[in-house]
Amino acid sequence: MIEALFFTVAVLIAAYLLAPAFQSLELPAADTRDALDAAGDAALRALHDLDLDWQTGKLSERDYRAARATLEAEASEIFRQLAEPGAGQ
Amino acid sequence: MVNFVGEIGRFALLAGLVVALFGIAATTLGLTRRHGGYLASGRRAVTVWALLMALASAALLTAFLSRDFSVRFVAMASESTQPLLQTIMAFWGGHDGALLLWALILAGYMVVAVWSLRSHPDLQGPATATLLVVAAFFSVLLAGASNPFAPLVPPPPDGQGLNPLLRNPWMSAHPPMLYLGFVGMSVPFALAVAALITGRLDDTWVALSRRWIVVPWIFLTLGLLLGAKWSYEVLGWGGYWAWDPVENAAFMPWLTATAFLHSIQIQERRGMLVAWNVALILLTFGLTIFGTFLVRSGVLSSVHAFAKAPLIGYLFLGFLSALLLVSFGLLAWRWGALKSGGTVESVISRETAFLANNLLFVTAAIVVLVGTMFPVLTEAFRGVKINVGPPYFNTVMVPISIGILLLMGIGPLLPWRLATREQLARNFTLPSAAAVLGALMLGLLGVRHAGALLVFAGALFVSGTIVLETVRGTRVRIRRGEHAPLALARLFMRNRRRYGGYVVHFGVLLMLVGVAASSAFDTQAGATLRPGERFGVGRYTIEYGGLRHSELPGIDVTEASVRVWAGARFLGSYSPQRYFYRAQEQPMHHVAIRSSLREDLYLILSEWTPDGGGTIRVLVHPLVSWLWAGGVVAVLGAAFAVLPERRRRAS
Repeated sequence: MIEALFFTVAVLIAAYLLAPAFQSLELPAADTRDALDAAGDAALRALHDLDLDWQTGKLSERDYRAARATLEAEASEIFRQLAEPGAGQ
Repeated sequence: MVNFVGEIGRFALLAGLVVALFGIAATTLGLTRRHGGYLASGRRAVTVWALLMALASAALLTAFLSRDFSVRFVAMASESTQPLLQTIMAFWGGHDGALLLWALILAGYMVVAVWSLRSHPDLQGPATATLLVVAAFFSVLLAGASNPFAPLVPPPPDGQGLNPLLRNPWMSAHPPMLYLGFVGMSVPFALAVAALITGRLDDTWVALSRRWIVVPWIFLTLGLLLGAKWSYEVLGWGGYWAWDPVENAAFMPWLTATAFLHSIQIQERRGMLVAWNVALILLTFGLTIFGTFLVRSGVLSSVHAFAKAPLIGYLFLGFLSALLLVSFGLLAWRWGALKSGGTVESVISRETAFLANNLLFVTAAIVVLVGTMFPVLTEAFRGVKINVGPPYFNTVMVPISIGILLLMGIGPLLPWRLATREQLARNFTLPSAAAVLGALMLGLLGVRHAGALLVFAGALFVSGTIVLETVRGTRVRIRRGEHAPLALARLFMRNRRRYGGYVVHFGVLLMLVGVAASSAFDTQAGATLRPGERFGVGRYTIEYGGLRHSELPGIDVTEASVRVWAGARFLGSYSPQRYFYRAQEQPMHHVAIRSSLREDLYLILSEWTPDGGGTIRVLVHPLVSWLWAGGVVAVLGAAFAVLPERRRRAS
């Protein structure tokens, strides 16, 4: 009795596992858009942190301006790439 | 019914092994042949494996609750008179059940991880295959040498009962928390392997790894804390940490994971240390497996270790070797692509502080590893087991801890890239003054212990930096027109990572102060007394009131009555106990603890005489409760830091 139950469960598991293998599912293309998204988030966080560092007196005006210009340029480049048609493909 | 449960469990574990192996094959084929259907089969294998582990766990729990002693593990870890909570705890009260709990937790992590990676299909496949390899290893153990459903013929009328050391409420949470920490490290490991295979160690990997390591870090911290609390309350020696091999086994991955949580910020901000970060993750997971090997192989003796099981030890060692070989092989293969994008521009910068922090954490992990393995190494090379013991660990770890403590204050106040002299003066004058003044005051008050004094001064310095950061940040928002409480709340809510990190640092410094004070200034005394006699310990007077003997199912209880005064103030009556578990012939302390923020009074009934006399040992531990409170604060801070932040918008 119990053997029959286990056999049935094993068959059901096998069917469930094997079913997709016989389908020609498309392999999702390697998408770099998520990497750009993550890079954009990181760039914005860096800018936000830099602003807070400056506002709380950890940076001189000159260092802050220089660092912000660098980070802004990096962020702009990322968002420019994200805005391009077909970005990440 | 009785055999049915065992059969279901054995079936689920065997099927789990087949499914895990199938999943590895399907995912690998899917990746190599670029076949979406095979990859989908691999993902389904994860779900089915998880369901099978859940089924096996339900079967084992049913066997425990129904007192099915035809299952060997149930007969070994429980008995018919055991209360419900202890019966449930017996699930992980022995090697086989603990491994099943490990597998169940791994199953949960795998399902969530594979599902959450659906938006990163190129990482999802290799990560799934890696997780399934880990799953297959545990399935091999569970379906074979560590099968918790192995039958016992004929079944005994009653079981042996749970190890008395484990019959403590802290044990209901300590192993699950520790496993949630250990097993959770599988996911960042799988992500690192996936990133190495695909070459995608970019910002996506950084964000995913950080999130996936904070969660097990929280659980590992909780597990370590609960283990310390258990040691403090159950073992009856008055301490909470003994540098025991099993404690060290859990501490080492915590150290490397903590190092990673700091160094990943350098990669995120400066594009540096990519290979180092990957190595830290690989090492952290390797150390969790190594720790499990230590606990289960019998190579080292420990009060926490499971029974000696050489075959299990060899299997773990083989798996660990293969794991390190393949993962570090992948790292070597990708080495050329992992060159850092930036350089350290100044010695005085946040990068340098984080680098120093990393060196200290990794040095600490190496120190603990060497100390833990020293008996094994000396036996291998000189034929004699030599234990280094707490003096070695304390001598080396105290300066490292003080260094880490100071860096907790220095790092956050330094800007990235470069700090000028004016900035240093502006940021460090107040915290340094607080530390120096505090140390002077403590010195004047009679604190002479150099190590403790350094820790207290360091803690004041770090507290100063945290307060300074919080006050300045709040002021910025107040200047924008927000009221102080709202400004403070929004400062934290809108900068969760930064201020959550500060909360963690504050918790850690509370813990370090607790450890330093309780280690440096503990006092203890003991006396054998007749009823009505008194003796003094520090500011306390202890009066022994006599003994009372009673019985609980399977246990002889001896209880002393003790009354305590602090000066003329009566503090209360306490009852330190000794349990004697008849079946296991094992005595156990049930200490009485009077805990306050200032200190713990720790009462132990050591011995007694037939005529009613009793030996009472008393320990006074200052600031121990700071250790527990600090741990909770650190965990809450980490949980706050990992909460998703509101997405910032580009303008």
